[in-house]
Amino acid sequence: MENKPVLSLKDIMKVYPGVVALNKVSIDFYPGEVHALIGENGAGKSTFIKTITGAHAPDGGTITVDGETYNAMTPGLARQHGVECIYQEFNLIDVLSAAENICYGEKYGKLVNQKKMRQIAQEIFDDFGVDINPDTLVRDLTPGHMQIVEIAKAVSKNARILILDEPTAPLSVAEVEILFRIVRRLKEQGVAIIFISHRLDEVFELTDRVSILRDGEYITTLMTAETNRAELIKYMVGREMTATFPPRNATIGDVALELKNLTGNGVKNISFKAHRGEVLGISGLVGAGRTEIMKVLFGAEPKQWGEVYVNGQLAEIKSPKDAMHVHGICLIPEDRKREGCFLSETISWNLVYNVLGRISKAGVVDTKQEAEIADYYGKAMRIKAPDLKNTKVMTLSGGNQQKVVVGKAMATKSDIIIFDEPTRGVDVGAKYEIYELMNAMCEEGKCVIMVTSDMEELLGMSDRIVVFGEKCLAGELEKDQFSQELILDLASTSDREKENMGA
Amino acid sequence: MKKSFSSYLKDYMMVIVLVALLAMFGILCPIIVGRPFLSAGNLLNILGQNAYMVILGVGITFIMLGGGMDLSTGYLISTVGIAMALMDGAGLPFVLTLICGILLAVILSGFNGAVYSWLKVFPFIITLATQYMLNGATYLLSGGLSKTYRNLSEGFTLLGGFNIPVGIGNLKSGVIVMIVMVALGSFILNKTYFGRNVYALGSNPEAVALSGVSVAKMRIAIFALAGFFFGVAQVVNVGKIGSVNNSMGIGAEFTVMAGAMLGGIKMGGGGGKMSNMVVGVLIIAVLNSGMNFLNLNQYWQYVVLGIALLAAVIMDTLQTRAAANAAKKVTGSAPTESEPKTPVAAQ
Repeated sequence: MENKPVLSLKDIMKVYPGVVALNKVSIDFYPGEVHALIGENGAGKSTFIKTITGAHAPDGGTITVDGETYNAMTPGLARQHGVECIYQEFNLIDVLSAAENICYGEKYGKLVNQKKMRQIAQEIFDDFGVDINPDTLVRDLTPGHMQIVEIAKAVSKNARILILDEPTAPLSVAEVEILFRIVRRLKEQGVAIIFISHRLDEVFELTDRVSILRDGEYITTLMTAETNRAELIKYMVGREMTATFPPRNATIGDVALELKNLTGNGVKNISFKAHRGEVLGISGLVGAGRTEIMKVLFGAEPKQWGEVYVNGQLAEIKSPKDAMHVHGICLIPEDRKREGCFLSETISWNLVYNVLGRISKAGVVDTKQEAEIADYYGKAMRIKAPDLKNTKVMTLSGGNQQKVVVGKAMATKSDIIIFDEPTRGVDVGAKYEIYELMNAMCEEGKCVIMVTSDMEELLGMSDRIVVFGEKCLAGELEKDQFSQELILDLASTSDREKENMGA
Repeated sequence: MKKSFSSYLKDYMMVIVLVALLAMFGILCPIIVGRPFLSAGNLLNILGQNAYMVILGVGITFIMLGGGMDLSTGYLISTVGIAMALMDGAGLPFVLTLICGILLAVILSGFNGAVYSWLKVFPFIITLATQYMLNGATYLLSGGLSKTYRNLSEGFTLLGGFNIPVGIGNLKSGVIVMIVMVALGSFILNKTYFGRNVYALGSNPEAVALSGVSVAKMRIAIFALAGFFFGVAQVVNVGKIGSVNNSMGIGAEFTVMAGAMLGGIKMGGGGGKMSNMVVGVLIIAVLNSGMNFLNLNQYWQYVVLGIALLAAVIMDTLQTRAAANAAKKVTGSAPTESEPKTPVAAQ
């Protein structure tokens, strides 16, 4: 590239309490190039984008746009320089028409000029070569068309730097083709495009250069044509494994849980087996549908088809109550503050919540049993609190809150325990204790299923790993097959690619 | 763009319900009580009696489309009514009374909007609080007693209760004001940038903020504008009745919100047209009038209105839920082979 960069970020730092989200990241973007930004979950891509759009200010470094250097962008400044970002979550007004959305915030004359707006929208759609009626309300459009409206909106504001954050995730195969055509067209017109995707095949198909981030660090920038999939994966995962995990002394027994083609909540045909005494790791990128299918398994979302077998018996799980009290399955949810516990209640109150039926006589809770159960699980979970009966859960640390959630689930005496992101937001010491709890469960012959986005935890704790692609199964790995590269390779294979391979 | 029959049906559902109700009472009333319901005189009377309700509805529609609600409307117009009666009694020229009364409504409703903008909580509790305050204020203004003010200026009658002969019967002047106000409301909603921002605010406040529009100012403006319509509505109402008392607006907030919702305006934003509100309020008006004709006990009327509102909410919720479920549905069917093949990683 001999021309000057339109946007260059230099030594960008962003520190959150306890985490360095970006550590001296410097990347240049040129007009007329499609620049991919890749990295695993939590690599710092979103933080980087937010720095460009002015959604937050970096703690260090400079941003130069059109030759002007700033310490931080603001949303207004970003717009002034023609920076437009299209997020995965559409930012459209669904009760207004496509044309009205495209022209939203612009004024043509004193009153709303429907004719002019329609004309502007039609011109852009014609230029894109897409057939969308400008008068259609956004809520009646397909996700693909909604995204085109978003891009059209950016184009109508003369975007010169267009950021696409996982743009293909909600699109069908045919819609992806249309999107790529539009992106290439904008590239010809000299727009700098920043393309974030975890689908590596798309990176190769569309982009000119690719920058890799890992754990907040800038790794490298490569010419897309001069690299290959294996090299990108190597750069994305090349981290050292430093965490230690407690040793486990469990023997792997019979199959406790089996899923056959379980389908529902948007996720299709999931099959796997989980044994007693085993930690089964479930891996996949954000949005792969792991949490979604666990909710179907748990009876919290309706099943479309497929079967669940518990201890070899076909299990009809219609509600979380069935799952917990009939089949001995418990789920420790991802969002513990919202779904896992009652923050404004005490530890004891939470610990016995799921078993109130068992310890009540004629609807009246037996306080003696309540205290016994709370005491048992409070000790077993090693919850650190002055007093179980009077301490409210919201006053605890993240790690201790998680132990309360685990204890509350364990009180149901379940044999199959599903952890969804067990150590998110938990400090290092408490993490280790949660791993020890998992080990203890395995040693007792229980079956542990662990959904996690933490690669170290996944490799360190699992006996086997099931990898999810996008809303489907991508593969299963035995312990001797474990490798970061292979897991990422499986997880980032798109439907399109699979279709191409099949064809 | 092709529109399916079912989507037309959805759009005009409430109009069909209104027509069906008119037909039903039209048939039932002569049979049961021997009086015709579908006479021009009666239909004009229904319009005249409910003109102020529709004007209140114009204001409520702005608030609801913008993502809010208002429990204080009825008490607000009571306060405005008493204030206008006092000004009128003190000998203020009618035009000045009119302007001051409407201005007071704008300020009081704008206050709701200002607190809403400041606290950023759903205006349920805010307008509940102002409802209490306004209820008290109404009685404080009338000297701590429940009072009825009569012998008001001719101007009120001219704007609300004056009978205009139109050949088939008498049209109340309030209906003319109502038509002007609905037209004005529709114009603001559909033709101005402000109107588009109202829709936008109810649908996606983040998007509004990101496009550089001040959400706080918009909320205040929406409530203030609604206040204008509330003020006008009370003028028409006073003119129609010919007197003012402390409790003449109470309960109106529920009737208009119920009407708007019945017509298809969603609580908390989510689209709808001015015409939806008009149809919804008229449905309630026709139901009330029809049941009165049939000499149905007042309390049965409440039950029927409640059922109608519940039915509207159920229908709407089921539609939304069906759409959400359809979006999550996986296409295709279960694999046929008895033993599902588990993909194994390629080496």
